[in-house]
Amino acid sequence: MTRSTSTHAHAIVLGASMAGLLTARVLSEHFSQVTLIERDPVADRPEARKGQPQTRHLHGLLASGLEIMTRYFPDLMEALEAGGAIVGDFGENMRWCTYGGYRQRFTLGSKAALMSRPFLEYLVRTRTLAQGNVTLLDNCAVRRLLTTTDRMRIVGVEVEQRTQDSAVTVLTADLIVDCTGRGSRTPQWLAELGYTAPVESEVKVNVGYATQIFRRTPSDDYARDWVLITPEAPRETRFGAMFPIEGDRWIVSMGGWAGDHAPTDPAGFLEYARTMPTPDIYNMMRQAEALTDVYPYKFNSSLRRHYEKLTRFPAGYLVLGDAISSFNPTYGQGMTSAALQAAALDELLMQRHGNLTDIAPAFFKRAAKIIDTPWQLAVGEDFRFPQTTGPKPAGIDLLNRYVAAVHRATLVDPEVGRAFAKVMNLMAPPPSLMTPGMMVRVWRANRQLRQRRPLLETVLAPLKQ
Amino acid sequence: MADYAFTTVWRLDAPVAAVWTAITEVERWPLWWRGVEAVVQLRPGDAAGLGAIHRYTWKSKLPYRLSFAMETTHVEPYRRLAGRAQGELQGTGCWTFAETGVITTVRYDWNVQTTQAWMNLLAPMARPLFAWNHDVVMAWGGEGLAHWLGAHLLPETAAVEQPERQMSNN
Repeated sequence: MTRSTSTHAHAIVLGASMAGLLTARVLSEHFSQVTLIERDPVADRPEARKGQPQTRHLHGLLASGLEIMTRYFPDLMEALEAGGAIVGDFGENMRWCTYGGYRQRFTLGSKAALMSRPFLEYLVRTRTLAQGNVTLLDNCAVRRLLTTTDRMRIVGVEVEQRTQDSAVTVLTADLIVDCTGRGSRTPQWLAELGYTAPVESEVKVNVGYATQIFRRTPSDDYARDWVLITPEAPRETRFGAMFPIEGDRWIVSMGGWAGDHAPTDPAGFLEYARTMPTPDIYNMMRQAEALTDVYPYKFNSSLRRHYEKLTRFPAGYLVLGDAISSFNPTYGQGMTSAALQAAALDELLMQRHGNLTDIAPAFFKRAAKIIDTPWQLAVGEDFRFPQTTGPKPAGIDLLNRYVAAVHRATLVDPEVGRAFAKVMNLMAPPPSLMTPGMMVRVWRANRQLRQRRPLLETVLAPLKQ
Repeated sequence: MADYAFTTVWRLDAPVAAVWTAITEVERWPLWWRGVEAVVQLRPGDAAGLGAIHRYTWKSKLPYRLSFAMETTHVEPYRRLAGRAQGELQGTGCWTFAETGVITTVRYDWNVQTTQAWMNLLAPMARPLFAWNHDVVMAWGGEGLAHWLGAHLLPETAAVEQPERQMSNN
């Protein structure tokens, strides 16, 4: 992360959520000044802003995401732990129930973090703003992009302060990056400027879940365990998760695919927990003190905008994070995908010594390559449900038959579990699960399972009643 | 050994002569067909290409290569091209061409057995994976061919997996 040889004057990042913060941090190495523009007011504490309802819900930071973030914020892991987050090897405290049993625990060799999303974002935000050359303009709405007269280059933005006087300011920059998430207005802006908007892939999943937070007793022997219950699709449609987070709390999110949504009244939510194949979440919820209401969240579809396929794109402008692609959040890949994209932008700027000419096609190509894996993983899993609709990858039903065998194999073979976790954590490509050696393991484990199907209790005892 | 039978249909808005040429010039496949790593001629055929033997190396979604030689056994210009495979896959492949108006339909029937011990051993479990891999490679081929010819791949091109045959090792 050495500074580029040619440093540009000013970069603007639209959106001060996770992708925007990471992008601003990266650009602070390549530009003299970086301005973050955020529509909502940003408080100097962990909070879920109005424009980011998803942040109230369960989040995990995958190992590769944490690894990248610690590159840019070297004290992040210590700060997370000091604040009460759970940082540890991904596989060691796992209670992951699926396909009728718990996956065997394993050592991944890489740490992941469990905390509330607002807390993580707060740590990342304070560290980004501590860069010295990064400024945050909050409560500011971007009204439009400013271009050169030939519209070949974006040179700035017109922002309106969302205060009483609604003052309008013009900001110019050498590079503007749209990190405003799924609601990004870039496609619309491009069309208004005479460009073609990107083609979209949309996969409808109709996932609905809800979240409630409980008090956690740190002396409980399972107080650092994380519970995940994922469905044996399509027979089961519900998932549940219970993660320990800072402030001695449990965060519980439960929901389902294909319209099998979780209820949002506390009694109904507790009852929903009782329908899970393992009683872990239910047992905790019955005993612990609820600290919040039940908040609902609906995720109708995964959406990918194919900027990499555009042949014309204005200079001086990029799009990054959920604004390119937002996938079903139940796989926990959003923040990590954004971190990988920000790191790719950093690498690209370093390789080009800060040269911004034609950077957009090069960046979108790299971003598409990064997005391919989490998109295929999420969409592939979603297509296990017959109700899922949208562009279906060739042969995915066949692939999913093998993936189901991999899921089952993780119940008996920790090596398969580790290989699967590496793919899920975006640390290894999916074909690593298809080597002849891995296929032999999967086959052997499935044969073993057929002979002796393990009961939940024989693999890992459920949390105490 | 494990038997596999696949049928793929591509529909393209290109003349049959252009499609025929692209398919018969097998040594150029790597230029347009993602997944075909190399095609090497081992023996030339007659003027029509009959009797020619080529070695094909495939690298697809699966993290290993697959290699086999194929001898052209039947050439009927613009209608039919068939061959016999020997190597890590053995069996027969047949391309059938039909032109209706401005649309050319190409059908590929691929009836093969795996010869490697591990592939045979794992067939009961890995069969869907091998079939998926085949579908992906054929989808790449269809897209690649359309792009190569400056044509479009038209709908109803889904690869069809035929009913599974009885496997001798199961």
